[in-house]
Amino acid sequence: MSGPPSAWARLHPAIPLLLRLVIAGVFIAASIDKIAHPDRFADIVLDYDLLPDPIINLFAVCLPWVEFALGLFLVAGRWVPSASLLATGLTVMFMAAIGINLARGNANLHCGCFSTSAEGGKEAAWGLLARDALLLAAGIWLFVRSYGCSPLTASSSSRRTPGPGHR
Amino acid sequence: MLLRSAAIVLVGCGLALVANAFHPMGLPIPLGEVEGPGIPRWVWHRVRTVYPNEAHALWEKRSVVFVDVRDRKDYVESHIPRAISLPYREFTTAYPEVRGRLPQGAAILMYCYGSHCGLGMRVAKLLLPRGYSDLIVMRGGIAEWEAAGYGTTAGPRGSTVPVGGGSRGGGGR
Repeated sequence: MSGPPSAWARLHPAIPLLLRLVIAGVFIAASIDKIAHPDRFADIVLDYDLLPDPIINLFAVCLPWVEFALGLFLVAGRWVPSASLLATGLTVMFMAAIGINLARGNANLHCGCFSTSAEGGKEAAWGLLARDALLLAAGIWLFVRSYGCSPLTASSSSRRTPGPGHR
Repeated sequence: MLLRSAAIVLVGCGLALVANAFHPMGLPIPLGEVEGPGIPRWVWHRVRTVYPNEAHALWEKRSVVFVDVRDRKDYVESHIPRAISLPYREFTTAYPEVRGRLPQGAAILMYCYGSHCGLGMRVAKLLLPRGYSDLIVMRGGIAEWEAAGYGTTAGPRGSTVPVGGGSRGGGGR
């Protein structure tokens, strides 16, 4: 699966590394306030009106730590394909949650993305979707690059080492 | 690779559950019978819950201030007589308006829509840091109150009669 370096990678070899660190930073930054205020985050999850009440606390407690953990894995360069796949999946989930609320006519909602405070304010759903789309594109790109045996996986234990005879 | 993704999720969940056990705002997992999501354990320990018959006894004795935490339009349509409207969703703006009628030393009973509405506890969570200590949440909300045969009234605003005074009412069976 190893192919020629992408145009970006040819542009600068540090770009894949930077992108991985940016995605990691986004997820770690997104987790901090939610970890500090699980009650507020649970309120926000409740307002999304997507999950049954009995699992909202569990979700609100676990999601920020999952974001934090995957961020750490990306920073450390360990299990990068798996972490980037998870990041992509979470981003798809966030976009679906926002999209469903948008379809319901709730175009101005508290994202709960980086801040849980009421003063953090509501954001336009379309803006949130656009931001998540960028994150999604970056996550997919990182996954394809890392899974595809690129230099990104040089420090990953899951890399496929290309060599003579490797397809 | 999927297994490793799942392993990251498990690592995160494991850390989360350990942290939640020691977090000052830790949430109860799983939820109990009347527990609404987003309410930390310490709030549950400091707020009493009562059934509508007990609430009605308190209402008759005028020993508590009733607070309706539902949306304003629902309050206008129907509410427990003498209840003050303090909508959870407008708490920041509504609280200063009603603060004068919510003395900190008074017992305050909050009610919501029904059994699965957690807004009463959520308002309690906001009132506790503001110095209120005697907080009660009525189980079953106004739906159970009405089902028990207790009266309601309509109108834009509750009575301004102080706790323990006046004679406005109509909440009897």
